[in-house]
Amino acid sequence: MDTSAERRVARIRTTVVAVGVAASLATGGALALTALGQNTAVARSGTSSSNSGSASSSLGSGNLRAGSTTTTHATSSGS
Amino acid sequence: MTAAQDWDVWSTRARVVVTDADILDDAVGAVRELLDAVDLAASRFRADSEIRNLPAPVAELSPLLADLLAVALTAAAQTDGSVDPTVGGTLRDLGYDRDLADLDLAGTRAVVRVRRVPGWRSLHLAGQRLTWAPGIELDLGATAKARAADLCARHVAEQFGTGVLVSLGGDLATAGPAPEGGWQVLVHDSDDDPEAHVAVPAGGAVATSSTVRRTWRRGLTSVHHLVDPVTSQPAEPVWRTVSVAADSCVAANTASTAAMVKGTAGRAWLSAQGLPARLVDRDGGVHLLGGWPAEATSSSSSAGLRGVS
Repeated sequence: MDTSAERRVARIRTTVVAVGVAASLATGGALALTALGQNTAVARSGTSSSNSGSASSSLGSGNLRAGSTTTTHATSSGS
Repeated sequence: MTAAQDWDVWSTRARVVVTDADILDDAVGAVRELLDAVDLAASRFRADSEIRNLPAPVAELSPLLADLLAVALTAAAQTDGSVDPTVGGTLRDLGYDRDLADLDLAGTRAVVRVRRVPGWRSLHLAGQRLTWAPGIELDLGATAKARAADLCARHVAEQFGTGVLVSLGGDLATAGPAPEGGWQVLVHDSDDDPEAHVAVPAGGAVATSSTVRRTWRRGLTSVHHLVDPVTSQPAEPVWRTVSVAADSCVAANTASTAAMVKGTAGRAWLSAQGLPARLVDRDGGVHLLGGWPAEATSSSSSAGLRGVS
């Protein structure tokens, strides 16, 4: 299979894989997300509570730095 | 060498940036397909979406919608309900009943009645099974867009082996290797607001919430889209803009939205989360938290800097 054909197949698979990942997350019994800096929260229903974990955010320890004023890859604005 | 492409989606702009320019078209195609899937699952503005056609009191959700709702419920739990997925009916009463591009922004019809927000605790999700009361209207806008950005970035990086940044209306996620020096992100809301430049490391994310965008009029009142579930009204616009950086766009968006909704208390709440954050108050003063880098001294960005904590 040539490169362009491989890429077309990969593109088609992307949605399938994304939905598959969502499915595994949704049916895995618990959805774990790195949450708000220091907690891994698990919430499966409006009546469950969040659980604290040990996951930490690498962006909470000074890894966000001042950026370039000459190069911009994207703009973050309200939407 | 990075390459980028922009297009309109969900009344805002989508942008994909890749570090391998050769795979840009394929990456954009993959993102578009995933966004179409999210739209079909979770848009409250299209009659054929899954979220608009869920039976009550029990519904079996698709894996994708179950994931998006689980993310929304997690956000609600983490924010003591400030980010609530049951605000759909209230938003519709406030006039936000269609895509913003199709909304009568200068609408003269005043709001007569606004229904109370049912509250996220009225939803019970077990796997893909949702148990809920008839009449609740879901709105996953606050978190679904961020989740979509995370999923798109992750899958483009995994499928094509490239560094990637996906921005959906300014909520951006990255995956794979970053360009040298990091992803350069301009944080800037409306033209009147001060701007900041940050370098986001690989895997980082930034989200910005605003009370000056997505606004419309109802009668004599200006209305925005961030509803406070406690009052069932648009949140008091204490902050013009809140930007947060985190390891995922969902985490960043959850924090920025919650701080906005919490108003005056949002700053202390956000500080307790330990995430880098930048708040612009209603007078244009800038408040930096959690290691958000100090801003360059320029006429626009230094004016009104209120301190770093």
